[in-house]
Amino acid sequence: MTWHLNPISKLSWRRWDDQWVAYDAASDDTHQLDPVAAVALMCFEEGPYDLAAVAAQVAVELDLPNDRSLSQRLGDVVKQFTLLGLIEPIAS
Amino acid sequence: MIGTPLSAVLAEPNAMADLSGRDWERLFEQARTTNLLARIALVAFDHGHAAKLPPRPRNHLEAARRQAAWQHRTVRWEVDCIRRALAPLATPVILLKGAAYLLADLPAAKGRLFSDVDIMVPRDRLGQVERALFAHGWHIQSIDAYDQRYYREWMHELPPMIHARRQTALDVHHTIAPLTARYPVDAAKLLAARTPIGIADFFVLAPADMVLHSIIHLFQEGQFEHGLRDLLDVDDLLRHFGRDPSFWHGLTDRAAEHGLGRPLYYAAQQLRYFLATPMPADFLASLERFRPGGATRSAMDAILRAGIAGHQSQGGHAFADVSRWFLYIRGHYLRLLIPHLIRKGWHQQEEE
Amino acid sequence: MILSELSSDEVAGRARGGALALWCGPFVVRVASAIPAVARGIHLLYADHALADDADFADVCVTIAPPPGLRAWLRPQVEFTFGGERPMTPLALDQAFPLFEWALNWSIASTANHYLILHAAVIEREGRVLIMPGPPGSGKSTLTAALVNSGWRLFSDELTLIDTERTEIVPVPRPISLKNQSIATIRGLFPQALLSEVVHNTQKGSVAHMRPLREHIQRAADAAGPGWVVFPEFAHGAGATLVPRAKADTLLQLGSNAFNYHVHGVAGFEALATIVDHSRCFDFPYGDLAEAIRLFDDLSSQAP
Repeated sequence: MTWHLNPISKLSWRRWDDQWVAYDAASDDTHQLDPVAAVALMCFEEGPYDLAAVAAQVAVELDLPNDRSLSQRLGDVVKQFTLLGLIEPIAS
Repeated sequence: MIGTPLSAVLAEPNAMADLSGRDWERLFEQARTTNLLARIALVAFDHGHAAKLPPRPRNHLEAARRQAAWQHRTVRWEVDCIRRALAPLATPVILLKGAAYLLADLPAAKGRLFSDVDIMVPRDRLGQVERALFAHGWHIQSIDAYDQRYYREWMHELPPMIHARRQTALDVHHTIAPLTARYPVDAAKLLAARTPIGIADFFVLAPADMVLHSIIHLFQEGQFEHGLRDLLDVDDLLRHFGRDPSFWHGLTDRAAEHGLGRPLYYAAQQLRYFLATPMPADFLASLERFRPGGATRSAMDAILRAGIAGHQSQGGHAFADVSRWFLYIRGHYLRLLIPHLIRKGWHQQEEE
Repeated sequence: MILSELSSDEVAGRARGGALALWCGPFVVRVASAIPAVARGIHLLYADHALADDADFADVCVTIAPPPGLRAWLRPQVEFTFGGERPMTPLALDQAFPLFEWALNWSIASTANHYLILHAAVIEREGRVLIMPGPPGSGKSTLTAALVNSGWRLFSDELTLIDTERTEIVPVPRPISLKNQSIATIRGLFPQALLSEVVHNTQKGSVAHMRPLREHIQRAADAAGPGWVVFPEFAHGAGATLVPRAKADTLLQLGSNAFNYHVHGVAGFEALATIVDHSRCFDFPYGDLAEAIRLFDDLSSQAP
């Protein structure tokens, strides 16, 4: 499955140390994200990604092992983002 | 310009430049009570008046503008959430009322504050739609079993829904007038004439249907609290769609087709009285065939006029209250909801 | 002309006629009340506030009067009306002045939405503001009362008004409300401070109001930029410690302490982000007011 950022979302980012904040002008939601979630969201903001591709990108950017634990974490992140309306699956 | 002070300013924005401090206070008080402050604000900003206004009244208008802009964002987001919930069903969804005006970029949306989102879906998809919404966090507002039955069996609608997290309200309809009403509108005709709005599976009503729906809303709702504001909706829609000369002829025909000639006739009267809505002479002539008999017509005219104006007067007065009550009863009579009316009446008596 | 130039009779007369209008920060407030305690309280506590012309546009009109009906004879009450609405339940007559103050808070928070408004106390020093968000019970009003008597300028003990365009905070200095024990504490620490009579048995307990300092009212037009965000939490026996706080989290906390954060959309987010960016942010558990004053003193002399 591939996801992209909700087409009507418009994100504003801020970062202090390892904490990120993203404001979405479409929903008026303000999200607080750790580095893994932040990088993942930035991926989806760029274009369509599937889980494997996000994991690879996150692993590279944050110098983390691309392992089972990361995939699981990202699986949860994707679920959360979908629930919040930040991302949606691309109809195939 | 005749009618109420508030509608006078709405009709003549230039008058804003001459308001005294106390005038502004009165205007804001009336506008807040009738939920028209955002509209005044947008009129001020759109017509380039804002820069010339004294700074503190301008701040209040700016506040109202920001609130309206936020409300609009909320509605667009809500429609997007509904879109994502219903996407797998690929059912046509028709937006109604405020959400329709906004998503179709109509002038009627400007400065208008909405509460609920109203959508219409084909009746045979209601069950699927309810399940999909439930799966995405909407639930039926907690109402008792009697009221649930009222909605489902009498009104053939889903009871009002609320989203658990966002606490936003959603009403799902399958027609624009309840089946038990005196004017049963054929939903299939409405669906067939729908207008796309650039969002997959989402539509709004055709212009004539949209106008007629807003007229039904004006006269059939039990509460006439928002009389002038609802009339403004109709006025906005007519001024916008009426730029096309062929629209008017189509409106009369469509009203006849739906059996909504009488409400259209009444609406045209009230629009002329309160807002001097421009309407072609031959259109008005074409409404004569819907005219009720003499005594009924002048009685209804007086009652409607008082009912619409009633909420405007500072503090209200006895006649306006009585007129509003008559309208309330008449609205329900038109809907033939006797059992429900009796129960509601009983409830109110108990509370008093 | 300032209010103290009127006699108490003149103040009462104007209030009775709904013609008592005064400046509170950027707002003109018109008061309508025939209740003596209201006029008395205003005459005492708003002495240094500038009078407004009665013909001026009033941003807020507060009416405090007995509710209609027979009730008035049985148990004297007062209620607040605003634009024909009654936003609060009526209170006993002796609570008329506290009701006026709460009514004014409510009125400003309801109508001044061109500002991003936080439920937070805010004070200023060295040209920078210190914002103290906190629910009731956090001790922010007591802290504020102490700090404004110790070198800090009062902006507000309750409402932080943020101009999102300039990312400036705007003062609206008014009497500071004190509850229960803190009344005695402030009296003890600052005997020169002027306090109203104490009103007992309100929903918040015993309540009194402290008159703001004249020089703070005189500088009510001077806005300022961000400096500190401090989350106070009062706890008996605790000393006083400033615990650094993550900025990202602080931004979200400020948003949830706002009355109208979402109304301002991206402008609201950017204003809070800028404030947090330019502020040192702390949690502040404390129980010792004198120690708190010293700590804040140190803060103000440190580099931003």
